[in-house]
Amino acid sequence: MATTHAGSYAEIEDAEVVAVASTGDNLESFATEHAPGAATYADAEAMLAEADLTMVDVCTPTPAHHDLATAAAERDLAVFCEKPMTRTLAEADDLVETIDETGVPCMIGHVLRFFPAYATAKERIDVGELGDLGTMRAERLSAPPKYGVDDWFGDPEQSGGVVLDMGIHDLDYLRWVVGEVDRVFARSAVWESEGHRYEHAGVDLRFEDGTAGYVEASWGYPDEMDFTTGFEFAGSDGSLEYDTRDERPVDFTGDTDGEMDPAAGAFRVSPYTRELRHFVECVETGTEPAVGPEAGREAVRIALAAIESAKRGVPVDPAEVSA
Amino acid sequence: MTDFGILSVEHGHADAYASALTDIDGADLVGVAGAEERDEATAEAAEEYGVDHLAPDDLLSRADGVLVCSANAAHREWVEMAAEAGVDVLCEKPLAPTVADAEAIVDACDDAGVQLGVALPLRFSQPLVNAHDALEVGQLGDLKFLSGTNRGQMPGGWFADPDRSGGGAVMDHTVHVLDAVRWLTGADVAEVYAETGTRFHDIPVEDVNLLSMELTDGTQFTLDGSWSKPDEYDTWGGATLKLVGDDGVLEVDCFDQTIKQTRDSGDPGVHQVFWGPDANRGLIEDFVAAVREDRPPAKTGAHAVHDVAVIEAAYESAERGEPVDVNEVA
Repeated sequence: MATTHAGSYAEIEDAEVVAVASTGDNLESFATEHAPGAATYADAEAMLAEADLTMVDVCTPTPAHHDLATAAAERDLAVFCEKPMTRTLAEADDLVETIDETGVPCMIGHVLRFFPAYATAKERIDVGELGDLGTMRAERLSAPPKYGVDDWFGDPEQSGGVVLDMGIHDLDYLRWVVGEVDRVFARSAVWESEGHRYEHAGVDLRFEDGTAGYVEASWGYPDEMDFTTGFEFAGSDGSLEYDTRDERPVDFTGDTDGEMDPAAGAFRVSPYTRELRHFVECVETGTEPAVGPEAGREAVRIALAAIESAKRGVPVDPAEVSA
Repeated sequence: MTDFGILSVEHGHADAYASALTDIDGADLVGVAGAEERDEATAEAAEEYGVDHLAPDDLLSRADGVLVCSANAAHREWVEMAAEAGVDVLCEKPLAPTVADAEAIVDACDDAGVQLGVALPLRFSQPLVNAHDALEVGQLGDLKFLSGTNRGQMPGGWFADPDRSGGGAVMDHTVHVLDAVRWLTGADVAEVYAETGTRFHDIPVEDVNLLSMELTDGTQFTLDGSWSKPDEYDTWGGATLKLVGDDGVLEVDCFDQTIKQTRDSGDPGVHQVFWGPDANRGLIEDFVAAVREDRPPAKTGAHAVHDVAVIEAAYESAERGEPVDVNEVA
């Protein structure tokens, strides 16, 4: 995600990556390639103390989000934090409080809200074109990510598994569209293959307004699988459907010769750039970011409720999630 | 020639079955019969199929096998009448609205020594047959998670009348994919959790049907069988099943073999025209062979009792707000 964000900052006129901190071995090569001229730090605290920063973008594995975001906020720096906002609800509560006390701008990386297909669907629903919503479905399907530092995605203690790390995109999105969740019931299958943790989960949601939802998140596919997402909204006056498998605005047959695949993402502005540009503008103008820490916390709460439901085999009210 | 009849044409599937019976060599559709109060509709169907409109007794005395296509709540009455007459039966799904009725139907057919099948054509849907083959040779490894859909438009009529249907989307759109999963895996449903409700239409039965199940072998199985397709949708609905194994994933769409047709007149709009192998044809061929060979059809009434138990457990779960052990209701 750091690579994607660095590419976006390069496109944002008012933003410049002036410092990079990482404990990874690739710190120098990352900076050279993606943030030329930026100072590098093996220690985030040192960067916060020494570099001349306006905002900090936290792209670490999930367990480090809370401490780094807190440290940045306490130095009065604006904070952009990747999703999930934190690993635990206690951390989420604490970060919300810190942001509140420090008053720094803060945004959580629920980037789906900046994907045009997802934003367009919400616009159609908001103007009432679907009537009263009845059911919603969202899918997010892939092979397990095998590129994380020390395979942290595969460690549920760190990543929370597929629901907290990936399903949370759709959980936040559906909550953004419909509102608060009354209860969740989830099932999850977990298995090991060739040293990797695989997981496929299905989460039933009941929203306070009575709408029923279903979110399916998978790290259960073989590596050959293209990353696939989709949604479906059905209401009393019609439906909306979207599936990336049906989306082929550009189809390339041939050898890319090491160049960019012309079929990769026909966006004029990448959703990540739209997201970060929005936050940079918020920081500059003092306006409220689209996805604040409270929304980040609610998404974490719903995801943790789903994980708890799958574990206990009972429906769980997100309001009852404590840890 | 083996002779067949249709007892009640209230279920729209009767049209497709009549057409298959007319087509299949060695099978003869000799007539249709129905309840007295629906004489007109039965007569219309007889004319459309080009067969006689007969009294039920008369039809049963002439037929070797009958299809019962009545409203769900009347299945028992019709099947018991056929069994008493010694005629084999293919009953529209679900077998009955309650486990008690389903068991009574099975017992009546057992006692009379007639074959009893249930009309679940997805067993003859070629994409699912491919899935069956893939599982048989182990191409997916161990199955871990199954995710299905069987959505449709709200059918209206008796389907939305709880006294005649026994329930809405849960009653109507659970058993197709459920049976397919039982057929593919050989496992039954151990536990079901249901989110239901009436959200799309002003009707006295539920149109939301989200189920979350665990099979007896531990596999997870979720199913969306809602009546959530808009009236203006480009087809009636569909059936899909995703099979996630530890060695591969198979995604099946039973109705993806279509041509896109757009019409300016007649029935204007965009339509999906299905051209794939006809599952109903396979279903009827199997029943014709079962009657001829006096052997059980692919899907027996006895096997279908569990399907009805899952439906009962789903209603129970929606009522109680917790997962329900299917054995509790069976």
